[in-house]
Amino acid sequence: MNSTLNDLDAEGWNGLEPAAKPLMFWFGLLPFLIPIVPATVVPMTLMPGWWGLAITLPVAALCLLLGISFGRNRWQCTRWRLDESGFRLRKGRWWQQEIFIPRSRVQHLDIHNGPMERSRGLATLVIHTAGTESHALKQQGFSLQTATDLRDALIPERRRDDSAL
Amino acid sequence: MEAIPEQRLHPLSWLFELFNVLRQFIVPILILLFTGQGDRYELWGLLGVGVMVPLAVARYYSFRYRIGRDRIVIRSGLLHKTVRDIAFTRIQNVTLHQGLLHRLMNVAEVRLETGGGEDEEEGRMRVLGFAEAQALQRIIRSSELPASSVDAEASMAEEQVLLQLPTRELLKLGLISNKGMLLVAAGIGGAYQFNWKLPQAVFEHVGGWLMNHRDDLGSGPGAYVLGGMLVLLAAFTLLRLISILQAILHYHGFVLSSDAHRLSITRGLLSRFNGSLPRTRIQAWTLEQCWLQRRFKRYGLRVDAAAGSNQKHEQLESHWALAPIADDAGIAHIIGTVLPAGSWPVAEWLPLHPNAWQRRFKVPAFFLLPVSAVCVFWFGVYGLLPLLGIPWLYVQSKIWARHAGYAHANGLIAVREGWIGKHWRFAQTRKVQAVYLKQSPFDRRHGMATVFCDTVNAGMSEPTLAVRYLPFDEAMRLHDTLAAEIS
Repeated sequence: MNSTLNDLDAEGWNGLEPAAKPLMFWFGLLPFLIPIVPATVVPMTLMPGWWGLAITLPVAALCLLLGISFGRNRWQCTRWRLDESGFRLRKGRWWQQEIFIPRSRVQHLDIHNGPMERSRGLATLVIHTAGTESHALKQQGFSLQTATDLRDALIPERRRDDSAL
Repeated sequence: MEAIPEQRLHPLSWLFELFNVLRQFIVPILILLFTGQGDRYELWGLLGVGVMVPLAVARYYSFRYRIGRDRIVIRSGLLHKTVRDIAFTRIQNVTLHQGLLHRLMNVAEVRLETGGGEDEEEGRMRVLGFAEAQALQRIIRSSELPASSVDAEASMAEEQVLLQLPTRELLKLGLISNKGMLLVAAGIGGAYQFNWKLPQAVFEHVGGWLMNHRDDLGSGPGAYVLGGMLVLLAAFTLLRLISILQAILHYHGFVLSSDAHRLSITRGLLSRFNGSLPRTRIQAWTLEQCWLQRRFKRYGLRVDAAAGSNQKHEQLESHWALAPIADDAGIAHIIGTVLPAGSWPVAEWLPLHPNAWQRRFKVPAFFLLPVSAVCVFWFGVYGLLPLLGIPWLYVQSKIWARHAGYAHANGLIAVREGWIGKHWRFAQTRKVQAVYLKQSPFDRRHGMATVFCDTVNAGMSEPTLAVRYLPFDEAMRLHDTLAAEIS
């Protein structure tokens, strides 16, 4: 049944930079590891002997599983494309979405790159609109070059010094 | 024009300046006076008042303004002088605020709202004589028109009244609204703040009184039930009375009017509010009808307004209740004045996916099963009672699905949802900033998807402008048409 939104092999859609894969994997995984700490400390102190592991191990396994799948999907299931009308972004494996931001609605763009991203030549693109949910659409995993190209494409030179309001 | 001399604020300005500082001390002082309790440390700030009075007077003497042809120049500051030059075109809104004290002295506080203002003191004039304040408001508003366009000026002259609320309507509004309950809850919270033992003491006091008089009340479960119902009835009546009082205080003399450029609202019994909203700043609309409103055949209408960037304070109102209460014709009249003709009321509502009702039914019904299992474990056979919720959910979701729908025509995107209480959310497509197509795993199982339109300053408490439970193909089509329309 053709009712899947995020068709990963769809034509005309670009994937993220391969260099970003490990970075996005680890940063996707890490938050899922946090619950393992209380899930270890609490049962181990409250329950006698090693019985606490009966709670700790399943929780840890679940967290790891979710974290790994989340970390992988974050890079794997993101596609973007730029066309005449504007910028489109597809992301998500389970909760999928396609976001469309027309060129005319882009207020401004930011390019961030922290030390980890800089060392790999990567950048995070933040697209700002006047909207509420799309107030700042953030996407990691572009190469610095792509991010800069996208910025130049979405905000042409002549508009760059215009007032936004 | 340039010959207009610099002007001062109203001679009593220093009083309001001072009052504004003192306001935060009033509640602790009252509590101290009446109960002899409270935190005395809060009053140490009063020492500063001795300094505040001469400062407030000095501020009055240092504050000057000059109204030019196309701008207002405000000079203020005693040691650190500031000159603010605000062009009329930059002023998005002029509001007049009048509290009780303001009205007694016939003055008003004027706020000139400019888009980017992070600093809320920018363009605040505390206070001007009421006549001068109105004159200033008129000057700034009339300057928005290009001087050449005679047509615009003519239509500007005739201000059209869109909605007026007589006291009878305000009584209905009070009966419908739940503001009373909110106010009481806030009051209890406030009481805890000052003295956390107070609510408990009141409760024990009342409980003790009841215990002492239980013989007078009669005995037996019948008497208890009757007593309980009487207490509930009394509480309900009291809450409604508070709501009515609040509605009258807040909305007395409500007038919504429009001219070529803006909608204006005047309201308030003791403290008056007079503000206006440029039509171009109107974003998404919310029309609402709760169960009680349906009994009265009334609606409530609100709009989101685009503020400047990063407006966090409330001075610039971002959600305007254009019609706190109005009937069918009134609502259609208001919307028809602002939106292009023919877009509202919506001619044809399109249905959602035929199985949309299942989405409202299945998951909650499923959750009732473990709940009733736990209840059976604790209460025996009576634990099966939660299962009665299942037919209820069935009926609810069916009614919901019958009312739910969307429309996309004449440059308007609209969604309606609800079952006992209903709401309509809509916006002009040109106000849409981004379009989202979303699909959760549940959506995928049913072959559905959601189309969400992002608008400016959509309130957290407002319903979202999202068409949920659409057939997937239809959702794709809607997404593509919307995308094509706004790009």
